[in-house]
Amino acid sequence: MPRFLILLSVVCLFFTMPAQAQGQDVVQLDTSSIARLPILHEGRIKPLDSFARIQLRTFSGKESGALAWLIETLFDPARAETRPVLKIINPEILTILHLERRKNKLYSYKEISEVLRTKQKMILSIVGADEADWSVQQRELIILQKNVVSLQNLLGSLTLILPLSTTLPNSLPAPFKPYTERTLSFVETLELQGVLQATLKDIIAEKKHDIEAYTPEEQALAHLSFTLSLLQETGQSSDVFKVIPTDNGGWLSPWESLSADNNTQLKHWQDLSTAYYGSDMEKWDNTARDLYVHVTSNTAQVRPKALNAEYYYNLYPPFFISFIICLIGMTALITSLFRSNALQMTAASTALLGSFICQLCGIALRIFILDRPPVSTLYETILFASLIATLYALIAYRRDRKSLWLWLGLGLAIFLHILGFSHNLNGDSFVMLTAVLNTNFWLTTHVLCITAGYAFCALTSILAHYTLIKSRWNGGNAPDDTLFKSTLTAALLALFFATIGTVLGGIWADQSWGRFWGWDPKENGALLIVLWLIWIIHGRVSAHMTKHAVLCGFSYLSVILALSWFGVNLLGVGLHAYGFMDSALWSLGLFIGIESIFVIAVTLPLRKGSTSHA
Amino acid sequence: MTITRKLFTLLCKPTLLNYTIPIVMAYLVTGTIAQKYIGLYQATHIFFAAPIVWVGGIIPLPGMPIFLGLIFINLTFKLVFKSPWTVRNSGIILTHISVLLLLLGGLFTALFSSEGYIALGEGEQKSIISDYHMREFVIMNEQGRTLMTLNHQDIKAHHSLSLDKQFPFAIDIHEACENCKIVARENKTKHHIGMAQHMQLETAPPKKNNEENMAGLVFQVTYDDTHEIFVSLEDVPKYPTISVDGKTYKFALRRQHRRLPFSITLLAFKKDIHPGTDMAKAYQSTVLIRDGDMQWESIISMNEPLRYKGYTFFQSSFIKTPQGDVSVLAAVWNVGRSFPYISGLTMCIGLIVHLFMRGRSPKKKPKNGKDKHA
Repeated sequence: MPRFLILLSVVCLFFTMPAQAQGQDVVQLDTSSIARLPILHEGRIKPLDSFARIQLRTFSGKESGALAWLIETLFDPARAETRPVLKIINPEILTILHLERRKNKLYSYKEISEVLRTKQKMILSIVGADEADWSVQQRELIILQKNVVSLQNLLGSLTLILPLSTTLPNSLPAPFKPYTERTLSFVETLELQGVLQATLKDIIAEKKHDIEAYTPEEQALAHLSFTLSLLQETGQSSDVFKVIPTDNGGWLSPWESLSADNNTQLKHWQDLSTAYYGSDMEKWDNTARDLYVHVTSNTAQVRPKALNAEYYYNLYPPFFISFIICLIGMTALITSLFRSNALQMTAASTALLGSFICQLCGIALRIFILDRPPVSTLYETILFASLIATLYALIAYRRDRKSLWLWLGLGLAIFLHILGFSHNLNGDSFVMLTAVLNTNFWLTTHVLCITAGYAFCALTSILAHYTLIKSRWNGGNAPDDTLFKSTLTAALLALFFATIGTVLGGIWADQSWGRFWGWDPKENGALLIVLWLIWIIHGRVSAHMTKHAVLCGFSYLSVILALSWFGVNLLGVGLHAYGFMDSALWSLGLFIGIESIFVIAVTLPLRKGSTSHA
Repeated sequence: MTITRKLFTLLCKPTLLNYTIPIVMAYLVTGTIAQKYIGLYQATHIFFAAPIVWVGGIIPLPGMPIFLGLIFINLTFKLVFKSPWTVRNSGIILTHISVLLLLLGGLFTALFSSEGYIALGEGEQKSIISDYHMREFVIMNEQGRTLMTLNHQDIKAHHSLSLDKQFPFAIDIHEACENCKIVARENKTKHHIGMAQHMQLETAPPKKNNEENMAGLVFQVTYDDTHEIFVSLEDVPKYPTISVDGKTYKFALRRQHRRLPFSITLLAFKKDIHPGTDMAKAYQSTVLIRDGDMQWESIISMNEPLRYKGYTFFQSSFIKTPQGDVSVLAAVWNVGRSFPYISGLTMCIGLIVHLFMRGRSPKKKPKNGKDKHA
């Protein structure tokens, strides 16, 4: 499919942009009503606002002003193609494409498509090679090409209803009279196209292709015919903007709906186009509202409440708000280091509670929008782990009122939020499930248990880090008993959830594939966590490990966790569908290096002093 | 202390566990990373299933099953001879029992389970399971009845096959490859028959997924004064055939077959995809089981297998063919399949009891009642 898209783009790129909308200033319209319009994209019905954000984030890495950009792209493609929205980070790609470097790294469709056209031979040779052999530059060039094709697809989505730059003169014969001296669109000329082709055929028969010999009227007809052909040619590949539901449960793009029996909804889009070009805000708003009501009330698959929920989820992103609250709480904690008072602790604990509520609302919204447990991607597991960690810190703080839990809860939440944001840079975070994952029971039990295990592993590791640092700070004294016990409790909870989650995963595999254990990398990663915890805990119980060694082992659990949670995805093999990635190798390597240095650093100086057995 | 006593003490103490777990983890990490380079099938056989691991092909090391066996013995001895069977310790005992059950289940599965698949088009009936990995070379009579079967991996190039005396011919193997590369034949003679006239086989590197390998044989059949050279490729439906003394013999290379004690017919196959994508949302097969005079319908879908007479059938995947979709059902025979369920439940109870008991243990008062920054 990607190969087909790329090959298709080679053909399409030779055509000029279809709609040459009449030049005018940027239209400022109210986007709130159109934002909730449903669209089928990547197997899911979502509000247009989400679609716009996903598209713009894919192209430029940002999503601010996404809907306004999408509206311009749809209704004024001639202007939109000059907007710099395609991001090129790699300077080598810029060199290949002979583009100058820019601070914001953004380039317009027009700039890039023109130079890509000259590189089609190179692109085809890359596409022909094995994807595993692509270099970083080749991969990025292909991604850029795909983005250009996607943007082109989007730019041509509504060209069938947009005003054409050609106006027919009044002096044309009778069949053309109703179409003269006014702005036309492709759909308005559908009935005219037969007559137009026949007339043009006669003109060509008489005057050949010598356009200079044509009368102004004949030139206008030829120009119109050429424009319509180009629009049809490019419109045929414009299938991403699926906003028109059909009676049989399918969804069509405006161009696809031309061949459908019932394309009455195009009228609404035409009205929107008219309102856009007339800068008629009232008409725009009313039409968008009518269209929303029409689609949501006549389409069984659409859940208007879910659309609304997703709209507000985008508008007030709960995890971002939670992140900000955590930062405020952390600031309060940091100030308490210099001058402590009860207010700071209250602020920090309230922030932790606020963050928890925001995260809980976010996850509840995701459950409602997706209509399933929200744990099928790496991003979603991070969100859930953050929620569990925050909850545990809250409970622990409420139990013994130690500021440690506020530091731990807020710090871990901030870290996991940043980690989550970094895993949500591209595409839709609400993904559809493959057939084997499509079971609410196993998703809820297995994945939630494993993710809770991850959260407790992270808590254990941080507590162990803190205990070791504190012990070192105090001149190498034996680790604090209370802290050690807290770490052990977190470790036991980690073992409990990781073990139960792993066994449940095995049972799910037995239900789905007929085998309990298949040595899949993700399964092995979970088992590694379990074995590591068993090893350390048994080392402690059997007194083979000193308290210090146990704490070092628990500290290093972060590395085991990172390998299990993210590292196995670097391998790119296995049955677990979520989250193959190859970009995090260096970050992971750096993390392992730092943790290894930490464990060595806290171990070496203490060897002489601390040998206290449990 | 006698050696027996020392051994007994060692087996009862967790010391053994403390040394074996890191080795098991090392195997786990190595085998997992190896999957990227040699695939799951090879990595599983080398690092997880083999009792002996050959480092560099020359140095033998005990494999993971040996260490898992040691853990099993250690745990059994600990439970029987050392663990205090008290209420307070009940969580730990239950958890340890569950681990024993899990390991025991793994042993049963390794020894007695088998898995394969049945690919069925709509209306098609089969009572044979094909193995995912094992291939076999089969000599059949004219009616397709199997007369002799040989494991493909036991067949070596430039060797003769030892056949039963019933066969009036001899077979010499020219080429045998687990994964074959087809190249055009340049030295064609009158002895080359069928596909062998145009192609010869060369050994290609094995693919990461063993299922994707294409096994093949080039063999010479000698009977009377005739020498005929054939090419047999895995699952190619047209079989090399000879006629000797009025009898016809066919030669086939295929995935190893296992016969079911009943037949299964695909009545209908249905797949749902997420609209606007190629991503499967769900698929299901409506099948008819025929067992003697009894027959009934059942539906197999993702996560909803069909179990019958010790066999379990899962909706595995489907293949698009010009004749329509072919449903692929995974078929598993596993006498140890109940172990993980019992073990999982026991483990869950054990861990909960242990956490509960730990929470109820008398608490020591911390030295400092309050801790400003903990």
